[in-house]
Amino acid sequence: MEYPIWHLTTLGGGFWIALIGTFHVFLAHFAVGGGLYLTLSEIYARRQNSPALLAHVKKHTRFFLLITMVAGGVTGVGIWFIIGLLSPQATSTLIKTFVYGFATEWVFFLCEIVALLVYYYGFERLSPRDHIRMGWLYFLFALLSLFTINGIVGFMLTPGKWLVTHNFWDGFFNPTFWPQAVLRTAISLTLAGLFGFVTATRIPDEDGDQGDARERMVRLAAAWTLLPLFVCFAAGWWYIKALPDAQQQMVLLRSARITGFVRDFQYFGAAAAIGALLLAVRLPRAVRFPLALCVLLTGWGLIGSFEFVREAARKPYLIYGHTYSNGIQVGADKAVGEAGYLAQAKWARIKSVTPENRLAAGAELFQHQCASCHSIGGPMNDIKPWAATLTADGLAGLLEALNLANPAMPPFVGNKAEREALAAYLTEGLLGIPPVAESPVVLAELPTPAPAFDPQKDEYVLLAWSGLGMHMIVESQGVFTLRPALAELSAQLIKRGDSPSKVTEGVELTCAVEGAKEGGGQPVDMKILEGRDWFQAPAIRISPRGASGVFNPYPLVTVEARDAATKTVLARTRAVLPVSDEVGCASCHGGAKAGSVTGAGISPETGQNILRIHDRMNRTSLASQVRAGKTVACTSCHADPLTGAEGKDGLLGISAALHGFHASTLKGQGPESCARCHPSRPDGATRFLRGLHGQVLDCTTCHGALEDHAVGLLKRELETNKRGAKRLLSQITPQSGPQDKIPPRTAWAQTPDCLACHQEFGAPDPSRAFGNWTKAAPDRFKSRLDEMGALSCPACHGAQHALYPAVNPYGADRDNIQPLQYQKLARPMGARGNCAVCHKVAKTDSLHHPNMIRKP
Amino acid sequence: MDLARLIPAAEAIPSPWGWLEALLLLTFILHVLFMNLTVGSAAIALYGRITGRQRDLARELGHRLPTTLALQINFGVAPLLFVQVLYGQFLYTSSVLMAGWWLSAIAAVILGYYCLYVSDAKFESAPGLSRLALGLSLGMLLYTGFLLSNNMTLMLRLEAWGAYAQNPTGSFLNVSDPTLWARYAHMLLAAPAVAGLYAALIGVKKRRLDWVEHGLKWFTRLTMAQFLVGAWLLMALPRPVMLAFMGRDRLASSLLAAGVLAGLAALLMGLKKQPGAAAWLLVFSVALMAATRAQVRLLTLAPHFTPATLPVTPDNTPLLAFVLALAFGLAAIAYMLRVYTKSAGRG
Repeated sequence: MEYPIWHLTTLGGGFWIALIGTFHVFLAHFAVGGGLYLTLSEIYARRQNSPALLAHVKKHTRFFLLITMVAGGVTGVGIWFIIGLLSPQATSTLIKTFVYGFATEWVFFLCEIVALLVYYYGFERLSPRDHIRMGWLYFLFALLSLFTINGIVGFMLTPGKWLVTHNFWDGFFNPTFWPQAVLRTAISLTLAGLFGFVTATRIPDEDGDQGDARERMVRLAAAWTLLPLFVCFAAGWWYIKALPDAQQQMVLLRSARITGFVRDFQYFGAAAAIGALLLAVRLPRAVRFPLALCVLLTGWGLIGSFEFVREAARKPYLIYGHTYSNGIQVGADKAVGEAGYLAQAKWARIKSVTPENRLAAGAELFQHQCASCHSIGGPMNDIKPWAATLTADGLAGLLEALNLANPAMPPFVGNKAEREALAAYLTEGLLGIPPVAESPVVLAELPTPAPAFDPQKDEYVLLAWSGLGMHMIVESQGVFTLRPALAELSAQLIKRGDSPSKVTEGVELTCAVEGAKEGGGQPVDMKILEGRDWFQAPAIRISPRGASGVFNPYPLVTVEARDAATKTVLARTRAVLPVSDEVGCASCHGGAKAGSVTGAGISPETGQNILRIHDRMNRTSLASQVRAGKTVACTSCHADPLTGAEGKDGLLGISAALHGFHASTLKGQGPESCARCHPSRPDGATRFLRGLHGQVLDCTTCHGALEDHAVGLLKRELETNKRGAKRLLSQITPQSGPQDKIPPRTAWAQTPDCLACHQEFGAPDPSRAFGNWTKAAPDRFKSRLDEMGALSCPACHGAQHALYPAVNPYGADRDNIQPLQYQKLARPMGARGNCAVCHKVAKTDSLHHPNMIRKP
Repeated sequence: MDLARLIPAAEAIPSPWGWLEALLLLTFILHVLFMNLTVGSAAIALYGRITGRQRDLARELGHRLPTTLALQINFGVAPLLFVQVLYGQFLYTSSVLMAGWWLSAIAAVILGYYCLYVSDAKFESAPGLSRLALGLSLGMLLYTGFLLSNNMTLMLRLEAWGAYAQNPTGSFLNVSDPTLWARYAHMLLAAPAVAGLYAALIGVKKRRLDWVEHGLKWFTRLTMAQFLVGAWLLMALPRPVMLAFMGRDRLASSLLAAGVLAGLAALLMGLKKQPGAAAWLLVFSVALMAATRAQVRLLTLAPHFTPATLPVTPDNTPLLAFVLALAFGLAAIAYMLRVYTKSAGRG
């Protein structure tokens, strides 16, 4: 926030660092191992008394000098240049902390240069003893140079106690100092072998020598390559083990990208080993030299992938725990606050976001906070493919929780207007995607005639209710399925009379979806539910688009009860079997909307966008699985108590995972955050909060704000130590107060307890709705029986979210068919003294539950 | 717009600033001497190669060039380190303003470096290529020097920083600064002068009087011209800084005057054909001029910043480690050079 930012586009900061960095370390490590290689080779050549070998050592010295001193040395300065340009703040911290470390390293570098020049120019001039001594001195100073810089480089990854003490030595001898020193030394020896091939394969045949010198040196180079490789792998493992937990997790578990680099390190190591073995075989010179060059490149890959692992394990920091990757210091996000980043960044060219400068301000923010790693359309860390997977809204949400959603990213520092400006720049500005305003959906009223009921003649009352207030279909065709289009319907048949009886035998109940698509709509048999006195069809195929193709989230089912023997219809009723695929994924995750008018459904593009994020966050390869033609079943890994899917051991249930993750990206909101995903938008195509509660309360009254809801679910998962539960919980601050005030909740198996508000079935106190969960599954509204054990709650009150009297957006009384059919009154069954519906006569006692017969 | 507001905040340093300024000055003197040797030798050698005069000297200098460049680069690293410690908030800023150019210096130096090796190796076998490589190398070194002069002047020139508002792409150069050209010319002219004296010294050692003659010509003529360029540089400085050197600031004026006098004395010795004495005086003059240059930086920044105000969180053990490493390193270097020189003629 103190320095100007070098504005970069195609070739972003990541590219320059990678290019100069990997090139330099490749040569610089060779400069260390190569020194030992030269000295030992010279001793060997002199012991063998072989002029051919000695001539080779001399040639190799020149090659070594040209490579390490020129390109190696100057690119080292290049690293200083590039880090100073891309991260002046962090460079300043590093330089000021370690000025005498760098100065010491410079002394060793100077000694290296002098030793190498004396070694090179003194090849003929010095006595063998002195000459070899110069070789040893060179190696000593090269090793000391590595030792010194190793402390500083390790400091950036694992500053350890320095973060508290700010003591030079605490930073220098940091937790990864020794494993890294061993690893780098081993790599440098391997590289010496690889570089050795380049000159060794070109040793000419001398008279009577038959290439003997060449073979000896090539085999020596092979040994140089292979033996340290074992140390490399062992030290690499030690190095990872020495990382603090969070970083170790990042390397091994959290990031698909980093584990990719760890794998690359192993592949390149294996390739170097195979290459070395191949070269050791006597091959024609025309093949051998080009092969040596190729094998040399595996060395670049080896050290490059190691540096990538190191850089990645350091994410999202340049100096772990102190300075973020974009040069912003830890704590700046808090310090900036609502005043915003631009107003406080000294070199920001725009000082505040206005409607006119929105995109330009976004561009400025991108340069300040993103461009040090991300390019725009470039070969490395291109931001465009990532931005393309989210909408402006989605990006703004992600930016609010950037470091939480992706632990490899620093937090975005700025206020809401700045988050939105950056999101707009990434979508509108870079990708040309115009902002999409959610327009209100105009709904058509649907006719809903109630079946006939003659209170004088009819002997049966048939009550039917949906298992859910809204069955949400969550699937993206061919990409993933979370909730298939199968809904549950229950029904209870009552024989009317002074003492009505529940009919469970001698009858057949069927239900049939009205206006279903071709192939659907056939009557489905309903079976007695075990342990209950009612019938159920647990999996009726249902769609919000019937035969007409018009979106209708409230299709009706006709339920009929027949005499099992005579097949005479005893009673008939209709009920709404609500179903919607109005799932708002696309509003954040981009991609075309599947239903262009209603905004319903998840398009395959949106589905893929979601899987790509899942893959990146969780080291899965779901996107490629889909490309191979296999649809992802979310609940095959994540348990779903609603459908009984058990998921995989140790993984979060689907509800906890989804709410837990999005609690960070959609935080600080009210019921609008629910409507981002669920079909509850007040002007949407479904508007499923249509019952009595929905007319006076909103989602958060019973379920809590998203954060609070997520905390309840995650706490339950934490009890069984599910992976990610602890981490997600640590990222969430509930809106209602401290986390410990929120009791754990098992998704679907526990619901808000009606009687928490309606104590003794009395007048409600809505403040008690959240956090008082039902204890066990049978206590839930949908399963619970009245105090007589006769009727279930929804039989008389209607399904949850559609409690009588409901006001359905597709026709006010669409959810009230049964009360209207039986008592001509859109109230709970029997309300206002309508006991005669079942009892045929009026009653005075509140036997089903207290307070059911109200005093006039 | 108050440009001083743009100066980044500076963090604490581990030793009192005077120590670091002294290290900066000391290492810069070594760097600039080797720079003069390298760039100047390349210029003299190229002149010799093009005109055909002093071909042997051109070969000798060309053969030494990779070594002097190696040391020039190494001695450049240390002052680059210390200047970042004391003046990082200025240097990083100016570097970002000219980022693209600044980074290109790395490629230029690598190319120039390799060309020196090519030029030396192909002296006999491919003289055309050798000449071309030498010319290219000199071009790269001059280009790098131009960038360094740019950055070193831009870091002091806050009034130019406003250009960032229009151009944040790192393609800015400080060419509108009158001190840039004078400073660059001052540096450019010094290089062949110093290298001329160096050639004369080699001539003395190798008993080549013609080299001595030729080298001293380069030295004396260019040093005479240097007094004019030096005056131009003085005049080009911002007025308060210039006045400080004209008596208003005792230390600054004394350093400049002493530097000029030492330079004059060196010139006199050159004219008297005493390259050894001239060399000592010249090194003394360069040191004084480097100190003068440090005064220019301090005086130019004085209205906004003085390193004496940097907070110090003293930590002497790393300094001690550095001093020990330096002592050990210098001893090792002395040993290596002794072994090398002692072996002269043996091989």
